[in-house]
This record gives sequence, C-alpha cells and structure tokens, in this order.
Amino acid sequence: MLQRLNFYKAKLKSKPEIILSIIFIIIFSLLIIVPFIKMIITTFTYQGYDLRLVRGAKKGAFTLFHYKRVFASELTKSFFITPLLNSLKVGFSVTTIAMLVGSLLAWLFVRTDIPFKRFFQTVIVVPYMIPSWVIAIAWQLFFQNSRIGGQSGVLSTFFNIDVPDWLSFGFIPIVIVLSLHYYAYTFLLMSGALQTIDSELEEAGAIAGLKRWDILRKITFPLVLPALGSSFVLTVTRSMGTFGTPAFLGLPVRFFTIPTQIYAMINSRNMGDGFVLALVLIVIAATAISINSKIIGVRKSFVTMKGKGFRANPMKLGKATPIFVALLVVFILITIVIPIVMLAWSTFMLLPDNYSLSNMTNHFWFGESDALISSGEPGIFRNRGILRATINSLKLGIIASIVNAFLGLLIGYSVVKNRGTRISKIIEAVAFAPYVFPGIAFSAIYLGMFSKSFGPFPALYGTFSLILLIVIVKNLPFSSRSGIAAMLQVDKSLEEAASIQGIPWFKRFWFIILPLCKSGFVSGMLLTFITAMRELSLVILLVAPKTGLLTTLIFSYKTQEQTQHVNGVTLILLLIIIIANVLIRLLAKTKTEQSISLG
Amino acid sequence: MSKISLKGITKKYGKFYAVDHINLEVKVGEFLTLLGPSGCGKTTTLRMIAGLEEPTSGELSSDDRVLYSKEKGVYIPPEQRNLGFMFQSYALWPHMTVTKNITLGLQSKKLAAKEIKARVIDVLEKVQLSGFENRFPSELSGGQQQRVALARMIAAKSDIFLMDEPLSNLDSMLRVDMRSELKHLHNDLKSTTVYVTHDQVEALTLSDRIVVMNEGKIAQIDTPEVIYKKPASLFVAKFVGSPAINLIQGTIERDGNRYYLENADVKIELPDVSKLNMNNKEVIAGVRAEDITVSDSTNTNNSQEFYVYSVLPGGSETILSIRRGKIELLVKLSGFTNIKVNDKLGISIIPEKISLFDTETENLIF
Repeated sequence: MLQRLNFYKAKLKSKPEIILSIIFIIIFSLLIIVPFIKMIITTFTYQGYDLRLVRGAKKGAFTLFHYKRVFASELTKSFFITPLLNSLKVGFSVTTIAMLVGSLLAWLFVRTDIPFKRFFQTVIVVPYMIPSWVIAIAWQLFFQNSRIGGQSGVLSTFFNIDVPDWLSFGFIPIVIVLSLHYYAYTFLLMSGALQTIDSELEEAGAIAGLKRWDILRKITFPLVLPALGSSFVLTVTRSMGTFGTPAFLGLPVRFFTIPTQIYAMINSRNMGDGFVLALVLIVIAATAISINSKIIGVRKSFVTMKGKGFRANPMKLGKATPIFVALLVVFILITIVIPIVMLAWSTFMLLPDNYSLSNMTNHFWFGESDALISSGEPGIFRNRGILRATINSLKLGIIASIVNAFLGLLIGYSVVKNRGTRISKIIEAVAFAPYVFPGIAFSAIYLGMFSKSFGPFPALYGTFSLILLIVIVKNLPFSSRSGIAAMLQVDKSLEEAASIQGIPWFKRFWFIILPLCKSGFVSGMLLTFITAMRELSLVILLVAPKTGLLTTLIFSYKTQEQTQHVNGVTLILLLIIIIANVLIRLLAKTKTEQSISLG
Repeated sequence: MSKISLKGITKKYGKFYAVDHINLEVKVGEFLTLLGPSGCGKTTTLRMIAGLEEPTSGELSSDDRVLYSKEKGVYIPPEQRNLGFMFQSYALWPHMTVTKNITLGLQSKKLAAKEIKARVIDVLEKVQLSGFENRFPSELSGGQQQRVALARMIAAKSDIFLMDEPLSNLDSMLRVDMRSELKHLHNDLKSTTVYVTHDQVEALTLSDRIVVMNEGKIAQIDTPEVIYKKPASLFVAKFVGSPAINLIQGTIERDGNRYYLENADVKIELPDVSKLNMNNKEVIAGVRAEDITVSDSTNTNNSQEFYVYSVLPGGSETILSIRRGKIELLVKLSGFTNIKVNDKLGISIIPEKISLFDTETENLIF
C-alpha cells in the first residue's frame, strides 16, 4: 500500500502535465461549470423578481414557471418568438451578404493576380478588428432621422432628405452594419480554405481537358463546399449572438433580438427568464458547433491538405484589373475611410447637426467643463472619466492577453501531452465551453456568484479583478485553441530530448517549448487584446464608476445622447486597437489574419 | 552483471499488448539491437527503458538500481535515469545553435563552464563538426544534424546509449558511412548501447547481439551469425537476410542412409536427421540464396532441372529467380553472369546448410 503511494507520488512529480490537468479541472469547475449549473438552477427556481408576480412563491423553490412563461404563455410571442425570429432573420441575412462579399474577396485575393494584394488584404480585415457597433455609430451619423429622438444625421441635415424610419433604425440597418463587419470573417475563413486546395487538382482537371468554368464548377466548388458550409454555420451563430449593434440600432425602436432581449430582462432583474433565453442561445450555438465539426470532419477526409498553398500562376484579370481595383477602393472608402472620417469630423462640431464651418469647435477635445455643452462634460483630453476608462481598458487588455496566452499554452501542453486520454478531451471541451455562453448571461451569473466570497476567491463585486476574471475566462476558448495548435506543432521528441538530458520541467518549458511556440503565443496575445478592448456585452453589467472601460463609457455616452463624446472615445478605442495590431505585427512578424481567423 | 535488465516488462494499450512480458539482460559494454517490423514493440521497449513511456507492469533496472517497478513503488523519471538517447528525428532544438544544443543539458547538470567548454570541443571533434559551433540546425545537412544529435548524446558522458532508428532518415550512401562511424565510436567509448532498427542489414553489421521482436514478443536473441544461419523460427528466417530465405515445404523421406525432402516438384538431400524421427512427416526447409549453386547440366544426384524466370544483376552480385513447377528459388551469384531468362539449370545444395522448421509451430527443429 505504502509502496503504491510512493510510486504514484514519484510519478506525479515527474509528470507536470498531470498536475496541470488537475489544476485546470479544479479551476474550470469553479469558473465555468459551477456558473453554468447555477444558470440552469436559476431557470428552475423562483427568483426575487418573480415573487411579485406569483402569489405564495418562495424564493429558491423549484418551479417550471420560467419555462412556461417563456415558451407557453401570452408573453411567449414578445419574450421568445419575436426575438428568435428577429435573430434568425438577422443571422441569415447577414450571413448571406457576408458570404457573397467574403467569398468573392477571398477568390480575388487567393486566386487572381490583383495588384497591391498585401495592402488590400490588410485594410480589408480592419472592420473585423473593430467592434461592429462602431460601424453602427457611424451609420447613425448618416442615416439617423429626427423622429425617433436624438440628432439627425448627415442625410437629413445636409441633403434635406427625409430618411425613412426603416433606414434609420431596426432590421435593415442592423443587417447592413453587421454584414460590413462579418464579411471580413467569412473572407478569412474562405481564403484559408481556398489556400489549402492543392492547385494540382485543378491543373489535373485542365490537363484532362476541362474548360475553366467546368474546373471551377466540378473541381473547385465541390472542394470548397464544406468550407462554405462551415463558414455559413459559424457566421449565422455569431451574428445571431451579437449584442452591440442590435442594442444601438434596435433598442430605440424596440426591435429585440435574443441577446438584447436577454439584456433587457437581466437589466430589470428578471434573471429566470433571461437565463432561459440564454440557454436557447447556448443550445443553438452548441448545435452549430457540432454541425460544423461534422462538416470539417468530412472536409478533412477528401481535401488534400498539403499546406503548400498558392497556385503558381494565378488567374490573370487582364483588362478587368482596373475595374476590380476601382471596386475595391470604393468598397474600402464606403466601409472604412468615410465612416472614420465622419466620426472624426463630428467631434469638432458644436451642434451635432450643423455642418457649417462656423459650427466647428475643439471644445469636445480640449474644452473645460461648460454647463451649457453636453451636460458639463469636459473635453476628452481633460476628462478624468475618459482617462480612467482608457487606463482601465489598456490594463485589462494587457493583463488578460498575457494571462490568456500563458494559460492557452499550458492548456495546450496538458491537452497535447495527455492526448488520447479522457482527461485531455475533458479539458479541451470545457475550455471551449465559454464560447457558447452569451456574454450578458455569463456576466449576470458572475455578478451573483462573486457578490460573496466563493471558493478561493474573495468577494469581487464591483472590482476590476472581476472584469479581468470574466474576460480571461470568456477568452479561454480562443487561447486554448491557439495553445493547442501551437503545441501540436512542437514535436514531442524535442521535449523528451531535454528530459533525457536531465533538464527539469520548468527549464524545458521556458527554454524549449515557449520559444518554439513564440508566434502562436504572440498571435494569441493579440487576439485576446483586441477582444478584451472591444468587449461590451460581457462587461456592461459588471462595471462600477471606477472600473469603467472605454466600451462601457461609449455605451453610457450613447444612452445620454452625447454624440461628440461617443464619437471621440470611439476614435480613441479604434486608435488603440490599430496601434496594438501594428505593434504586435512588427514584433512577431505574424499575420494578423491567421490569428484573427481563429476567433 | 548486466547493465540493463528487463523483467516481465509489458505495455498494454487497452487490450492490445504492444510489449508482452519481455525478459532481457543487456551486458556491460554490449551493442544490442532490437530488430523487427514496424509495430513489433521495439521502439516502445526502448522508450520504456528511457522512461519516456511507462510500462503497464514489470520491473526495469540498471546496475542493480531499480528504475521502474510498480510493486516496489519505484518510479525514476527520465531526467534522473542518466542515459543518452538518440531520436529518429534527431530532436535538435531548432532555435538553438549547435553549441547550445550540446550545452543546455550540461548546464542544468551544474557542470563547471570550463568543463562544458572542453566537452563541446571534444565531442565536436569526435563527430567531425569542429567549426560548426554557431550554426543553427536548419543550416546543417541531414547527416550533419545527425552527428550533432550524436555529439549531444556523447557529451553527457552517460554509459548507456539508447538509439531509436537514428540512421533511417539518411540517404543510403550516408547510412553506410554512419554505420562505420557508430561502430568505431562504440569501440572507442565502450558504452552499453541499445539500438532499434527495422533494417536487418544494419542490425547484422552493428550488433554484438540481436533481439528479433515480433508482435510484442522476443522471437530470438543471439549473435548476428546464429540469427542468420540458424534462425529460431520461420519469422526470424524470413525477416533476416536479403534476398529472402528460400522456403520449400515437403516430406522427409529416407533412402538408405540418406534423408531427402520431397514434394511434387523436387527432391533435395537433407543432412542426417535420424534423431528427429520424422520420417514421412511434413516440414519446411529453409536455404539461403548464397547456399545454392547452379550448373548447366542436370546430372548431379540431388538436383533437378529449373528454368530461369528473371535475372537481377546488382553489381557485386546477381540474383537469379529460378522456377520448377510451383517451386520458386532465389540464387545469389557473385558478379555478373551470362545466364539468360528461360535458360535451363541444375541446382545443388550442401545438406548441412539447410535448416528445417516445423509446419505447425514454425519453430526451428534442425
């Protein structure tokens, strides 16, 4: 008995991957599994909110009340059916448009000789790095009308056009704005898929005498079909689950999608119903992921993945080149340049709907507090609140990106080293689980859980640590994915060679594994930094005045209709994201596109 | 005293026995080769000796120091086993120079800087890579990378070397060179070496003893000569030797004082197998290609007429494939030959060169 014990002790000591796995399982249980279980329990018990509605209900007693109300009551239509239909409508419309644009761009960049490839490719993924609701804000600058409150946009003041309501708020603008964001995502997925197709397959078709169109139809298309399917499924679920844009463009006209409906419920402390809807989103996302992995599984079986990439002689555009270049330039102007310029311009306008030069002012950047202008809010560079939010956001982004990159590698290490065991599968799956949790619901659970001390954690209510913690957990899916991918690249014999030489684990990790994973590590950092900087729905419930972030500050300026401040702070956020991107790109020489496409 | 000792070492994956109760004693200073087809458990056995793989059961020791035994509660991790290991992929750290690759392990052993420096100079000289100290692995050829891996292993000065198919990634010319280098090195350092390969020529050229493995079990342990001349089973006979051994099935017939192997096509004289007491029993005879001689005529006693099916000249030797009825034999001639396809030939075999195997157990019986 004692000998057995000694044996396992010695074994455990020399197998860090087992120790790591145990640690991860404990942490994941506390931070992922317990919250999920709490969410489910909440849906089955009476909450404080329900006591007013149900006579004799006891807080915490078991009930199917929430499920009945959401799925089978007179409220079902407004609580569930309408938001679901809206979400589906938005999801499918956005995906259709984004797929068309994204695939066309992917084909243009991977398979033709379009000039200035690198430049265009870099610019074209910018919309994916910035939050989609930034485009929503820009949209309102143009298309807002005065009927629904707030100021009017460029079209109605400048050109005196009466902008109809459907173009200013609701379904149409949401779809257009989200499409302008997600096309970059489908573009990344599709160009990845196109690159993996061995051009010899197409050349073999040409040698067999097929015409160019037939090659496209009979060889290329069937080969990218699984990738198309996979992109479609992923884009539908992501655009359905997005919060910011439908909140900015939908809430003012009471156009609810599921995420905004969850937000509305949770904001009015109706947790039970909110979590039922959250479970609906989780089920949809989980189904989509399993469909996707089936599709990918099929793809692996017949696409020859050689990783050698580009066709030697891409298709020549010839005389059509200027047309395509012109189209691209116009596209970039409309989707990126003009919105940003307009954002910048509007911050210099004293009255938001007066475009004359005499209305220009730098008050919103440098002015001191003036009770007559924007409720006495001082200019951006004099504003302590904005400074604090900037510092908080940067702190959040930097700490989270470092922690996540390390965690990702360590998770990757224990998953890859334990490959084939059940423990490895469990860690991989649980680390990915936060992907399907809607941000709002996840943060509502954390809010409840950490209001008192919990497990090894002290009470974190209203602290920066709580925001940091949830951002780290929510980003685990991406960092563990890139960690696993990076670890798979490192041949196991490289570490074995070191352990044979008597080099202890910590040194092996530091001198061998980490340097070999450097590029994966850095791109994982970048990814977390960008998502942390643009996080809105996840943190909106958790911020206290002192812990505000740039995103939540924008959101609160937005609700106060302080247009110039909204736009100014948005510009600062954009600038930080773009600088971080350039910086890391220079440092690591990795392609942003590769790291982003993981997300 | 044996340097490495394996007692009942077993490795199971689910219900599959990758290594099945192996007992093995490696002698001090010996060059021992584990030989077998892929999946026979040879690499797993080597990795278990190194500690990179954990046995399911059994006991492993070195110099009477137990390295692994669940029963005795001993688990020594690879870091503390103090052995040298050479990987098939070389496992050179790509982000470190040649020098750094060699010194990283020495530094963590807390050796003095002077000693480390001296060792680097010494081992690089030994593998003829002086002047390459600051190159990165990607700047070296395959053969040079191989020698860096060798240098790294030697530098640690452990007295056990474990090598996992170290030559399999080299092209054939280089492989012959490296065999000679390895043999010279072993002669020089006298380290106990366990060497894994699926290349039987490599095993025959390098080893003091060969362990032939099949399906997780040891098929035979012996010197290269015995393995080649008296293989313990049909499996060993077929696996070792190139071209493949000729196998002829037939019944033992007695004719006066002589014994013959007979079937529908041939009648071949056997050595004196009286003590086997297997008259009229079915057996399989094995005979190496170089032990068959051919002649134009067919008048010798124990030879019948064969026709030439194909002629395969290889420079120093020529392999003939000859046939008679259902019997197909390979014959090795030295140099080139004038024999052509469809020529008629007679054969003769010295009876003492023939091995006999049981048809049921497939084990050597004579």
